[in-house]
Amino acid sequence: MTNLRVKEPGVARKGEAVSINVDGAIVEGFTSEPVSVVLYANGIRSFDRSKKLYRPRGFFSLHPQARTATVIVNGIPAVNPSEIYPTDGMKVRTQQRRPLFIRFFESMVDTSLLHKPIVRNRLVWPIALKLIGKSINNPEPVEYEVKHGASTVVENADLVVVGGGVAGLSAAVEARKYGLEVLQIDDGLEPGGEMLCDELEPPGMSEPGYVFVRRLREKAVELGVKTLPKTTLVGFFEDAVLAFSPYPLGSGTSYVISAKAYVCATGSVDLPCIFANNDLPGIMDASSAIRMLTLHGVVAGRNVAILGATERGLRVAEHLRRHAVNTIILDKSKSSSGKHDIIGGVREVIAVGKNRLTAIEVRCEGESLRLNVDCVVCAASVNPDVKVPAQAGARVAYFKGLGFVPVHDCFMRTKKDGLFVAGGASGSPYGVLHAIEGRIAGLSAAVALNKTGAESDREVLVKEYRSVLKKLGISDIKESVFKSFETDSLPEEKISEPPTLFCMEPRRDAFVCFCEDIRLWDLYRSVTVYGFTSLEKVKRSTGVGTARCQGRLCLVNSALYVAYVAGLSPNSVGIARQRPLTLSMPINVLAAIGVGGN
Amino acid sequence: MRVVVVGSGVIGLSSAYNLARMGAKDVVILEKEYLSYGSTVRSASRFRVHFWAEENSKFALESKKIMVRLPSITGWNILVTTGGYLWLLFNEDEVKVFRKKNKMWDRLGIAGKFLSPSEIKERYPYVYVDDVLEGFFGPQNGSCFHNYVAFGYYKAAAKLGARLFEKSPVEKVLVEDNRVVGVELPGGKVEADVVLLAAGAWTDGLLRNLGINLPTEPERKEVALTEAYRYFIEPLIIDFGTSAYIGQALKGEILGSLEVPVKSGLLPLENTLDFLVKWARAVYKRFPLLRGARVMRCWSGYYSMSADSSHIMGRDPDWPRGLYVAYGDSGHGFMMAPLIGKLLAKNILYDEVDELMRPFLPTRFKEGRLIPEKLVIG
Ligand SMILES: Cc1cc2nc3c(=O)[nH]c(=O)nc-3n(C[C@H](O)[C@H](O)[C@H](O)COP(=O)(O)OP(=O)(O)OC[C@H]3O[C@@H](n4cnc5c(N)ncnc54)[C@H](O)[C@@H]3O)c2cc1C
Repeated sequence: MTNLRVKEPGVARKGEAVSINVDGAIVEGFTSEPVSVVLYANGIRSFDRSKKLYRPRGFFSLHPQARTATVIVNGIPAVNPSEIYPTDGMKVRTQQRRPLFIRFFESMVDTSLLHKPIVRNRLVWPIALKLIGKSINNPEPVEYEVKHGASTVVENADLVVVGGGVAGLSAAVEARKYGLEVLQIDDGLEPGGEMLCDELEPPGMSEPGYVFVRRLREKAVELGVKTLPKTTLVGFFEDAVLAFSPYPLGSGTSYVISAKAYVCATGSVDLPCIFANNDLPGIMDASSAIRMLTLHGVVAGRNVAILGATERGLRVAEHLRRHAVNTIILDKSKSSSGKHDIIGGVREVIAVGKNRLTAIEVRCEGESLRLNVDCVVCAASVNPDVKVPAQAGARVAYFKGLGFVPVHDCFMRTKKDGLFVAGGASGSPYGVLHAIEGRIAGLSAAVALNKTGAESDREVLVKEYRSVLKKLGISDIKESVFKSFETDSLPEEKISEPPTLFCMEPRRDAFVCFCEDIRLWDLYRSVTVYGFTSLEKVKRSTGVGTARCQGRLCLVNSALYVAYVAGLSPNSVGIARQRPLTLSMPINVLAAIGVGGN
Repeated sequence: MRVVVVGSGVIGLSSAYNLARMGAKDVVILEKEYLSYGSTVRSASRFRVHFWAEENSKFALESKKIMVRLPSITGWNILVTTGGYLWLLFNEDEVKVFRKKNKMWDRLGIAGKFLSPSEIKERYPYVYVDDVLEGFFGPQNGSCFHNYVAFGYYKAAAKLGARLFEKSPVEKVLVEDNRVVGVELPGGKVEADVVLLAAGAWTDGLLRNLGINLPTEPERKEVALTEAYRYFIEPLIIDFGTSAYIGQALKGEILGSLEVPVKSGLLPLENTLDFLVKWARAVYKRFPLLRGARVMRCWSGYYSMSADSSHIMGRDPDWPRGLYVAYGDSGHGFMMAPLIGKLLAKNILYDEVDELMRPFLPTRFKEGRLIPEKLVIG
């Protein structure tokens, strides 16, 4: 087994060393890294089996909302190992069971077979039903004792900032300067977001990202911004806003929040690339690869293929190379480049491996080659994380070059009163823009609360913002969003092939949804055989976007693919309506709200 | 003859399919949002035959027969399960009521079974029964997959020539010389000889525009859903006292709801923390096994409640000719839809009023022949 821990862990914050028990074996890790990373660093890549096809599942993303594989921890089922941190003696059980007659089960759950006359025959169906009920690989619910139990905290603030990245921190600091009581919610162990993991200089900045964002963080603390770490904002309800922290394990803490304004700085989501066997453990998103390396000192692999010669892809490559990892970048556009080891003109990728990735086959125009890699990083495209703003009621629409974004104006206001967006969540590319947008959003919150001086300061900053947009060459795109905010009209442009598609036909082994085993082929049939061309209907006929990760990883990819196959604009396909909760919560925590605590 | 069906919920679609099947050449379905946007895709998709009113039980029984045969009719496997309904009863009065009703159900050949707390425990060990006096189990009841029922009807209707237009909100029914001549949309008119209003909770508004007032009102209902767990809760389990219910879908998600007091009317389709917490408490108490289960999502939809909580179908002779309705289903319209569509199509095309349908005519309110239905769930 290759050692994935690097010698000099850069900005990594090592917690204390702990040993945990995984399926009976003792493995070492640190309290500062999620259990997923402990497992990965120790060569354990498959944690779970997929729901219908029993394919091996590891993590695709370390984000707590990407609940694609779960384990049993200290007897508690369905725990996302990316959401929790290890303690000494913790017992983790993975799921490797695979029934013998898997091929048979495979056909049982195949949606096309469900429509075959033989299965829908009234006499055969009850038998099939029993088998299906038994053969679906869902976690077993278990009654367990929670040591400390759930608690509820009531929080009031002028402004709640969702997300503790550079945009969120900038917003919090700015609003605090105008005297607003600010509560910041972040799902990381330490606020800082994406930029905390950046050892290089982000575009437009003159110092390493982590240095910049740490200073900002100190400023926020100094000014008295209150922070809830390891906490996720889970829902805007009619009568309250709810946040949730999954501690203690198996239970948790809920925060019932009321505030006058909200800034959504939830960052962006790396979209999974779609290719054959893209669900194999060892295939992950760019953000997780960088995070593992800089925060936890673990490299994603020793030979890594990166999909997408994007700004993000190159950044991953550069980070990994600093630690002697062999990287190669694969891109769909034509130009190959020796400098970055880029192979251009890639049409199709096929991942190879049994329980983990061992190689990929790459088809370019005219030639094909096989690369022995132990990790693939998906960096072809990102989309703003719109779950929270969309659920809160902001309007979300597709803009070419940005993805599905909450429609906003140059003051970062959304279509929902009192809700502002900034940074990656507004579709802006990574770097200096995020800081400026965060500050504007913070000022807008101050303006909304009638703080003197905020409006004129905002005017000045917006001028600077617009000139930075011009300098970065994305003025046209962002201005089209601002314009749409005024006019309420949406671009109806069709799209060509989605950037994440590395697959030439609707394959049955190219996965769109990792939770429910929904393949490209299922989407294709939904469009071509059943004629469903809006995502609401595709969702209801295939189940895409309805499972554990709540569509975080699949909705945007599905919308773009459906638009592509149907020859429509993404805005006419839409992304399905977002509902609470953004992260699932145990019954015992919900039941405790309003009892005890407050 | 052109029939315009307003609303592409399961009732509209089942009617459109049956109309087309019985020979209507020109069936047009107008939908304000997208296919089945309304209550249909938001429902718990359960069916039962046990109702308070005999008329409802008879109707549901016939409807169920069509429902379970749907796969061979529409070609969509609607994933029927018959795990039954289990009502948990907490006091003598409740038990008495069910014993009395069971006599009626027995007459219809659908008697259920009374279970003592220990029998419940034996069959369903995961239910907390210490506060339960007795249970009533209806094995004839079950569930299916609502989306495939609706989509199946739609595809079958389309195959027979019915046409669906989405994003086509009907603003008004047009009447001339006391007969309907069409409907008005924002972009223009659609002519019609017959207009069937199957717009669910939105039907009230369209009728009121015509000066017709039936005693119906939309009521918002919320539902919550957990992540998927191993399939183990076969029946739908209902606390008769609080109306809290819980059931498990074949895919493994556990779904349920309970009644929280809300104003009636078309409230925004949002959710309240109040509901979620109350439901979680009900589950916490009743299913200790699920205390750690993670709630994934909630949503809301409308029940179209009628004054007697039974559905309304057909027409009143005093109305403009060609105007029909099918709504007011009070939270059990999904299971009634197969038969509503069939009988309504006969009614529209051949002016025939089936004996099963007769009690549900809209004239019952002014004639004072109500069908009080007290077994409303959720
Ligand atoms: C939470 C919940 C749980 C339920 N559980 C069950 C259950 O377990 N079993 C059961 O049998 N029933 C259940 N129901 C009830 C069931 O969903 C409804 O009775 C049934 O779906 C009604 O179908 P429909 O076609 O009448 O109405 P809908 O499905 O509401 O369809 C009406 C359609 O008309 C459209 N429309 C409205 N106005 C216009 C207009 N002006 N122009 C054009 N189109 C228009 C709407 O967009 C909508 O698509 C439940 C309902 C809810 C809300």
